[in-house]
Amino acid sequence: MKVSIRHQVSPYLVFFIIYNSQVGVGILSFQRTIAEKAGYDAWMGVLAAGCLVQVLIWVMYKLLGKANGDIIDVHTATFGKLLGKFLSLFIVIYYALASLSVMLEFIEIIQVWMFSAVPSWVISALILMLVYYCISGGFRIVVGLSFLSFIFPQILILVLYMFPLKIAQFSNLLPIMNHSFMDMLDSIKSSMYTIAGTEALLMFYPFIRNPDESRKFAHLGVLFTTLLYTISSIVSFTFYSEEQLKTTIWPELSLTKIIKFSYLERFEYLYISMYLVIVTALISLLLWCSSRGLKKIFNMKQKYALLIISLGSVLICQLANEQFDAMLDKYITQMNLYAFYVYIPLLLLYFTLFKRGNQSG
Amino acid sequence: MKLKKGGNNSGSGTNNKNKQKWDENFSSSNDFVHYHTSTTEGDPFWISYFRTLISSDILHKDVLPYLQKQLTLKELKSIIPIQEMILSRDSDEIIQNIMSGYMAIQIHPHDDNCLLVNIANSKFRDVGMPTMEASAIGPQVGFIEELDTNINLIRKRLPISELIVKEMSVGKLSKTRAAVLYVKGIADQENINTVIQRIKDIQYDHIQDSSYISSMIEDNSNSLFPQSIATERVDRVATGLSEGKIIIAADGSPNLIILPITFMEAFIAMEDYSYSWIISNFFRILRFFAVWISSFVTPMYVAIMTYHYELIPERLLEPLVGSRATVPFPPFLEALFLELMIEMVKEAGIRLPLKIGQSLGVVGGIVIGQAVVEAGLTSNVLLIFVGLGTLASYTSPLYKFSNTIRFIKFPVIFLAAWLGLIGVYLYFIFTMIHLLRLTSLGRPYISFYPIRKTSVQDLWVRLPFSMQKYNPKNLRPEKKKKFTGTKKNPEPVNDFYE
Repeated sequence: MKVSIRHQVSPYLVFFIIYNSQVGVGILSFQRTIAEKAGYDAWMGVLAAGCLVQVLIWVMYKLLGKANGDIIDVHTATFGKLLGKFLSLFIVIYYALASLSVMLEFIEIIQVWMFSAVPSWVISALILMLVYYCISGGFRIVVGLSFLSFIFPQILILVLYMFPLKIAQFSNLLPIMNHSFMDMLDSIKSSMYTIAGTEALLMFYPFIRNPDESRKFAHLGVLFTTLLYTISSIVSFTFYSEEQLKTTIWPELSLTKIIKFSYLERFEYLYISMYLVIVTALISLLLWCSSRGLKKIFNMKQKYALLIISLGSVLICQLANEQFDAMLDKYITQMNLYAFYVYIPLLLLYFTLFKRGNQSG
Repeated sequence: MKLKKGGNNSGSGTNNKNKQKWDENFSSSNDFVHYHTSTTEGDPFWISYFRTLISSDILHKDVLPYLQKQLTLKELKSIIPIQEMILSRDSDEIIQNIMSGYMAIQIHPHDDNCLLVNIANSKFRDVGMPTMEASAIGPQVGFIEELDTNINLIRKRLPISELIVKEMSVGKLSKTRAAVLYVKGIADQENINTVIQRIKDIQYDHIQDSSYISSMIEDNSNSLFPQSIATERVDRVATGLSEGKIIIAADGSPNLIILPITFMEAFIAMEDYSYSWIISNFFRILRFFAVWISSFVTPMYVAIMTYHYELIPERLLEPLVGSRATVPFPPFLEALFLELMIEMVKEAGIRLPLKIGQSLGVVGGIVIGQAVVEAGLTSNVLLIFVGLGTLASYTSPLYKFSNTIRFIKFPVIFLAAWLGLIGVYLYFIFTMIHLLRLTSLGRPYISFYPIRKTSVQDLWVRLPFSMQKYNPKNLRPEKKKKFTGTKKNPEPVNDFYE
């Protein structure tokens, strides 16, 4: 199934898609989780995780380039229709759950910081209505929103790091490398999920105009987000003491409290609402992936697939409690790790061998 | 002069039946004239026309003197000193031409053959200043209601044979003459075909203005954002043509439609090209921000005063709260009341004659505004914001666009009152997705996605002319370059002019 050129996007836009797929609400809180064991050395764990993602990008491009299609095509070519579709369904469910976890986390932020009385279903329904409007315009619109979320809040948010850096204690970071290897591994592991998201490439690969040309933009995108996360963790580490960091749930959000102008205080209100742009773009991308997956697997209309997922999400958002959140987080982290860092490389290996066998036979 | 009552049994065939019909229709109008030019019954030439459509000057000077001798219609055609003449036996054509100011000359009252002579009366107002798109410097010529004059104005600015004018008639009843103009070799053929096809597909009884056409052929007619420019400036049209845009003109409308356009073009004034590029950039960017201010300043006020007053530092909060202290309404009602009041003043100002409108503006704006604040119904600060927003909305050089801007703030006020800043941003995202989805003639409407190199030269900002090398790429122009020189002035080799 070839995608018509009208619906494809230019290679350079892959930078923005990759950036957007990786940056979500995780950046607001990951500083605490990565520093749990590795302390102030954890920023190196982020860099290492970034390198792993670069490898994953390389693997995915290799795999998809060989199959010249998305993951569903790879699966059906490798395992046949039934098993292939079953495995694809697993990946598609991952996308939907990932979007759900982003949504839950963001709703929690809104309820904790801004409106404690607004019911979850209202916020999720409003966001999903926007997401539906966005996705129904096609993939180009989804990418457009990613692009926009980079231009509008992201660059501004980068500039805002200036404020905490003014009072940064860089001596916090010293001495470097005073944690054990296992602690570092732990920080890498907890960074992995925050920095995850590039898996979306498995679905949108056929929508890139010149996939080979786009490869460098994908790597650049990962480089950008890795640096973004590293800088963000360094900013937090130089701002908080280790004890403080452990008790601050959203270190990055609490940071913004110190931003003060003569006409503006308590910047976090603006910050959270600006973050809505980034979150909507991310959810649009993830739900586009999962609804397109469902469309291809079950031969249904993408409209209905999206509606089903959206209604389900609204329902779960309303019913979810803390235990559910924790469980969802745990499973998604596991799924992400095993599905993309273990399974996909193995699939590439198998696919290469399988193809070769096919050609000789 | 005798009035002819309907054709009876003379002649045969379908043409005659048709003619009978037009004769009947025509002669039931009192301004229709049908008579024999000579006193003796046997002599030739019956003429018919609508008294109200023709110029009797031309008729008496240039036509009647030649109708005394006995001639065939062909001979007559060669001697009457009028350019537009048609020999026809097609009754549809005859009817249509008589309706647009031609006279029909027949040898016998019921002949099929007619000589149609154009003696139409074309009295229109003179070419004047563009009233809605005024500019301080630059050309002061605006289009008028007559199609031919408008095309003449354009042709004077682009005296090239590549400027093509394709005429067609739109509207089942109004038979409006519409013209599609483009420059061959620059405009994209696909765009041209789309426009012509869409105009031909229009099935509507009466087209009164080019805006009817533009709203019927727009890609998304439910959008608030105009996907074409309606302009009365000749220079804007000529610039558009030379960049590869397509123009639609309609007879009876002083506004010409430019297609396809992008969102940012609503911030371009033709004056920009008359100033130094640095100054014009300043104004262009100012207009861009003014639009954001206009649509979001009141909603922000509502959101912040309702939910997030912590955002405002203490020292600034004091005057804000102080001015609101006596106001008995929540910020939402206060803002809605004031915004609607301003809209009413504006609407009344437009509907009323100019002189009354002015004094009404003073009464509405200053007297009521001041009184409302003194009575404690709204706060001073909000009055400043609303005034600012209103002012800002009029900085866009396109009137249609500033109306859009004035309208889109109302839904945000509701959302801001409900969900505070989150509501404002939800609306912002919605607008952005909407703009991303919009297309003008199938080309992306929002001008910063995807990024085009040509948008930097003359869309977001205006670079000096020597750096505006290419025609806008979103138009897919067939001719890519518009500037073929190298540098504007050869610089002296030594610096400091030694």
